[in-house]
Amino acid sequence: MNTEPLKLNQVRIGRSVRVVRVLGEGALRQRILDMGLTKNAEVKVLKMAPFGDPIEITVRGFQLSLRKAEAACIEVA
Amino acid sequence: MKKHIALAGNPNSGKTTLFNELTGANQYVGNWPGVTVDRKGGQLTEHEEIELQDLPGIYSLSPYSPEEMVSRRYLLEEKPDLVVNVVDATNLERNLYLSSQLMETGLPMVVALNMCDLLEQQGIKIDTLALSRQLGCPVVAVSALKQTGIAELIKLMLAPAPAAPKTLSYPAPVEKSVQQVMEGYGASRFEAIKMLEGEELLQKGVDKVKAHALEDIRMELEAAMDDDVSSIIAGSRYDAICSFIPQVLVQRGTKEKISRRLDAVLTHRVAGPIIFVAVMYAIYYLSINTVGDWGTGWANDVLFGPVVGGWLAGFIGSEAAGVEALTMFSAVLAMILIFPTMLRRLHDLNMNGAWLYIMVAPFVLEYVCPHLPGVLHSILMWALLAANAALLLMGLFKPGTHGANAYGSRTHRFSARPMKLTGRAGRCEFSTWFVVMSLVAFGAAMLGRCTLECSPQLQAIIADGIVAGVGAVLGFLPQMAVLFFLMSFLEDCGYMARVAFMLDRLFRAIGLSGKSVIPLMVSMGCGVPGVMATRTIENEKDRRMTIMLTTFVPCGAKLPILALIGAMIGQTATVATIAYFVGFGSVILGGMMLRKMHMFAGGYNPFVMEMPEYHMPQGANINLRAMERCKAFVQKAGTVIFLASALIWTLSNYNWKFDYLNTAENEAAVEQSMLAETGNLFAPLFTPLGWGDWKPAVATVTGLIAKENVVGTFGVLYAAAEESPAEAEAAAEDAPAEDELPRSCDLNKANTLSALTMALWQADSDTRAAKPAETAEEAGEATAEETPAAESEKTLLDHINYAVAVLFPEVEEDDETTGVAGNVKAAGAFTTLSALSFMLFNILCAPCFAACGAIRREMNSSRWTWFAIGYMCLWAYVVAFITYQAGLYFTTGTMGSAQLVAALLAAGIVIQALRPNPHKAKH
Repeated sequence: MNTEPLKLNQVRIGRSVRVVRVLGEGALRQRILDMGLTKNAEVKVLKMAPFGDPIEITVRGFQLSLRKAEAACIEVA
Repeated sequence: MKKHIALAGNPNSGKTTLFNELTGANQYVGNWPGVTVDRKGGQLTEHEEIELQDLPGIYSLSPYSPEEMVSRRYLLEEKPDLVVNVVDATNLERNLYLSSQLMETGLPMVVALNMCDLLEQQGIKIDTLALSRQLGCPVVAVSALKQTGIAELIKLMLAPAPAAPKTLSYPAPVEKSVQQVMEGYGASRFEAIKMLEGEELLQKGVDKVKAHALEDIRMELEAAMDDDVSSIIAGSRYDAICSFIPQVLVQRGTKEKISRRLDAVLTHRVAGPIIFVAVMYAIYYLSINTVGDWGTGWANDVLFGPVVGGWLAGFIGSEAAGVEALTMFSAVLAMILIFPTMLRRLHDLNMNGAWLYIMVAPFVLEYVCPHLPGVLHSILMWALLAANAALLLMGLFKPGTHGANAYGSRTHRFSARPMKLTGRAGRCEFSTWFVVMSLVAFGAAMLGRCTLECSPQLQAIIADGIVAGVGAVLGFLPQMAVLFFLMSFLEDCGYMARVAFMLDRLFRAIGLSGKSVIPLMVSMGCGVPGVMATRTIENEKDRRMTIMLTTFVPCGAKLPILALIGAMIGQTATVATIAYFVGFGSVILGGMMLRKMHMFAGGYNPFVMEMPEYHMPQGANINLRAMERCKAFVQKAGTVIFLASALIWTLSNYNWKFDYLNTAENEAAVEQSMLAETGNLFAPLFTPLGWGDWKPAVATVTGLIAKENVVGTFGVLYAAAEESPAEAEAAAEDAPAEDELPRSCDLNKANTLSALTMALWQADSDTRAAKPAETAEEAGEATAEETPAAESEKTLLDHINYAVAVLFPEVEEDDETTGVAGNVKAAGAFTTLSALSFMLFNILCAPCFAACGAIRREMNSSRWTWFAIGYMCLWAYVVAFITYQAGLYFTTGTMGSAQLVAALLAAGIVIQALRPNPHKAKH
């Protein structure tokens, strides 16, 4: 059984998930929250950048790009 | 008393467009987040008692990024009389998140719901009344682009400020904690919430005991909601907004956004990068190699050759200029002078900005497409003539739509600034400036018949010093204009954010972020906006590093240096490739080395970035931005380079006793000039780089004023070694003057604006230029005849060179630089190696003063500025040194202490760049 909570960077492209909580601290965390990645927000992972790192997601009706390391701060279900 | 109004809103919500519409000011508008980085003030058109502030775009009022700090400080400390919250209707939830915070500041607020037209295209409507009820403040639907709803917004701005808006209500535990903090600390609701979020800025006044109590309140809240405070509060805000969104949105469309489909291709894993390279190639091909280059060739060979040269000789010399040269002079001058007013008149007529290009098209047709068949050529010319005439008549007589839409029936004020680019110009203003400017151009042209016969010294300083120097720089304007135009298009349409998205991974590998792509790309055009564009990088360390590295990229002004050295060595394409390779290599190595230094270590730059919707850029918007940049370029050429050219000419033509040396006739005399003596002091510094002569040393210094100056200075300094008198005479005989000028007649015909100018004075002139009977076909035939002759003279080598030049389009030689290069070469001042070293030093060392100014502004610290400039100079010196010494070793086998030092330095660079980072960020 997988006890580790699922992180946004592990979500497969094209899937929709809900935010459970945002980890991390300071400016990065505040920016993620300000962008609407709050508890229960629905997020769809759209695509990956050509060189594999930033990912593009849809949240609250707009597109957002964030790095995988940043996406790893976001617990989803 | 003045009323202060602030425009606040999300990045990319259209604040700046609205601001420009309201104030008639000109600001940078781009379709990528974070274009406004400073707040800018302006007065409302026709209501000067209202002072409007355009705040940088922000997502929240938390104090993390510089934009947020600037906006927040203004709102909280200067307390404007009204906040106009610009809300992007296509992105309601996230935009209202900022609104919820603005509401809590207790400032009177009006919501300007922007981009409603875009939303309606998606089949969605917003009930502004319902939204107004929910927020407790007036809501106006506007379209900053289409200029609807502006009048209503202005009315609200003029009216007495509405009562403070409502505040959103949050879940009970949150409200309870907020109440506790407000009572316990005498804080406002805004402060209380920010204190709960744990903001240090607001906690400073709180003593230890109270801080403990605050901590208790936070713990209690966290326990009640099973989360931490900042998540709870952000979540509560979004939840409160979501609760009323369904009541506000009238219907939901299901159309897929076009942006999504475009993105599927433009950021595709394989196609995306290929498209990016193709786009960059297209930009540089169009601006540097083809369209822009044709224009530059024309400016150098015709405009600053027989036309301005002939006019000048007639003005201060002894031989009156010919009528054709004067016609051309007057036409070009009149067009330049009327251009800005025409732009504003088009804006007033609500016509697409593309119309402006009708005025330029005849020029393009004449000099850009000389290979067009004669018949097609004349048909196009006549069509353009008709279009130009229509444009002129409309400009002169059609009432503007100005009165009808935004501002009611009031007419606008006559502007006494004919070169102003923004705002609107009515019939009266346009007619007035048209006549005045035509007369001014005519009068100026007529000076060419004065034959003042000034002293040879004055003639020399003006012709050889100033006109040669300024002309060499202004000759690049066509290339710059095309580049600026294309860059503006890219910035406006939303592609830049995608570029950052695609390339982030690569740039992170060298210690920068994807956001550094934008400054670096802009720097390929000009370093000044490039440095300014670094403001979008939130992380201070990343920002400083990008500022330090971005001017290594060869900018437009450095291209002449590349062309010059390329022409000297005879390998333009190779030189250009080396320059770009070294330029970008310096960015990469610099990033890898600096990242390991203590001051840049650690830190983490969030890359949480909005991807804006694509949209078709507005022609007027692009025109405005491209012309703004051109204007800045011309101003620089007209002021700084003007003075610098005159100064250098004076310094090189006089010795310390102020005896005139007349270097034009006595080339050896330049060695005794003030310039040579000063230069000689610095020259030894550059001996290890292979060019320890005073001329290149002086050129490097003048290059600091503007990089193009290096070529200009070489032109002046090595001009002494130019043609012998006999050669000069021979050259004068087959000068292009006679062949080129007849074309002007045809050109003038197509440019009605200019033709009318001419008609004012040609009535009493007996020239053939006044007779439009000689139709375009003649010019067409002439062109057709010239072309095959020129073709046949091309050798195989020329074809190969051409092929290489097309493959590497960065640098194309023009006759001007080739001439200077020939002179420099003749003087035997450089070997291939020292020429390369000279070029590398000049493209890498401290940028021009304008860019240094921008660096100072963005670093916001003189220590950092000097550090950055010192670093660039040191790096330039080291690179040039290593190149020269290694080159010496490989070509001549010399192996001495200098080569040893060079080898050690190179090894040091490699080690510093490749060793593991000792300050690895503990992310």
